[in-house]
Amino acid sequence: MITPEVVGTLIAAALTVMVYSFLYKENKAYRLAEHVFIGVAIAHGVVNASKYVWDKALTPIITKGDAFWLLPVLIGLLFCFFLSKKYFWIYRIPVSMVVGMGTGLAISGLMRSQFTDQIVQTIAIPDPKAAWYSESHPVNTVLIAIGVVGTLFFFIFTMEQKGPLLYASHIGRWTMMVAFGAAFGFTVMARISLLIGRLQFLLNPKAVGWYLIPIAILVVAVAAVLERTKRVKKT
Amino acid sequence: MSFFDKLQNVDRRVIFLVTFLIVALPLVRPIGLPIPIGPMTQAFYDTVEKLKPGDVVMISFDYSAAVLAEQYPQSKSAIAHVLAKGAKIVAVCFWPDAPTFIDNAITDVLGKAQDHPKYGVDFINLGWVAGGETAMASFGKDIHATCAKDHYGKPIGALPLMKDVKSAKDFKLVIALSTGTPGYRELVRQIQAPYAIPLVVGVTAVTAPEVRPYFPQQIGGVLEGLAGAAEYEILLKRYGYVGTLSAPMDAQSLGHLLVIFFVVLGNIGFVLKKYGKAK
Repeated sequence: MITPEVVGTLIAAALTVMVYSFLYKENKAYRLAEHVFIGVAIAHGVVNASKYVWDKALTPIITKGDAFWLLPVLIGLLFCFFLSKKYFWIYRIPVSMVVGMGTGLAISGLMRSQFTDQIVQTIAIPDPKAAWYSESHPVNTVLIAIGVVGTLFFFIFTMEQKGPLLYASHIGRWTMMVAFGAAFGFTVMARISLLIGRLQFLLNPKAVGWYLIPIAILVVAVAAVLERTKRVKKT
Repeated sequence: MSFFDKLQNVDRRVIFLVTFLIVALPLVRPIGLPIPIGPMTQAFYDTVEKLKPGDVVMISFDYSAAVLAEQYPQSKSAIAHVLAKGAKIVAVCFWPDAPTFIDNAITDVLGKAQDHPKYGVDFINLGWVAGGETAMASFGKDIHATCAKDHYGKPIGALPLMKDVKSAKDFKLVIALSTGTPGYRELVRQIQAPYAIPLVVGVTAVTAPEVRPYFPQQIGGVLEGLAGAAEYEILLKRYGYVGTLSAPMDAQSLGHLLVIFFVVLGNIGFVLKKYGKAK
């Protein structure tokens, strides 16, 4: 029986195949899926944001006459001046408020959690009583401390890097290369996880199952026909 | 093109096809490769294990549909573990996409979400709070003023769970399932540090290296991507939790072996070509 869930699943499967068709080469099926994705994402964001403003600010104004919410609504409306060349300067007022408030909030927490606490963490040895503790932790702590100091030396540009400074800077360079390698490894892991997620969806007999084959054939056929039509037109 | 050049320039479509097959086959026919438990997953588990019945836990779902493969299994496991300990959940998100994932994850664990008889008593879905880090700070200070209603439009003051939960001080633990900004970093700044509340996080593999400097003092445990979720599922078996990530982890491991194979292949081609020229 064709239910809205089945139709939704089939559309999702078709869009997945259309996106993966890019791996062969860029084609119209891929571009259509890309445009649909961007359109849906923006629509989703706009609807959510509008609903939030409606529930949070407009409803109290209308139902309770709560005038307090008029102020943020009016400040929010000033963002619309982004579209005007003449009054663009008004747009800067809400932007400066958002940036100022965001920066103030972030800096107050940042100095402690991402500066002083991080310095302490760099040299802290984990609790040996913890179940996950291993003998390698003190060694790792020493390596991290050396690596951090070396990396800081790498970014000293106010004096010529020679002698001990050069050695420290080399340690920093190697530390960063190891860090980039680890980041790359984790990125590979994440990308394969995304593929696994889509394949689990496509290969799940309860969700898509064998419907996938005609969908895939259809997507490839449409993409191939469109490509061929384009080539014929060019010649 | 010489043989060595070919080794360095394998057609990308061949690589994609082989990757597809290598990843798809274990999903159809799982191998059952062993999954060792990492120290950060163990620490995550141990932190949640310390919860006592009646404790209130904030779970922040800050991710989008793009990372569902990694973060949705983490979400389900975390919810199941907290509820198995008899603790209560205040679920919230600072990303607009996530209220549906909260709903789905709770439904997958308990069978129902909004219509569950324990909704508002053992767990609540506060939905999306707009404003990023500012919203987090406001949420930590006064939950009722920040979210007067839950995701379904019910006033939270009327729900038994929220009667004694007024601010972040009332949480015994914060679980951040995050993938970007706002996420775990902002929660460290606005909730963990100012209120001294233990924080554990579940992140995507891409984010994992950035989280490590916070472990173990600021962030008490980390689930790193799909691997972290699979390890956590194994630890939860003692609660009767049935995991679903054994086959995906086989696919993950084989996928990694394939990447290593292609990296080695390219390097062999590079070295042999260089050696051949020098000769």
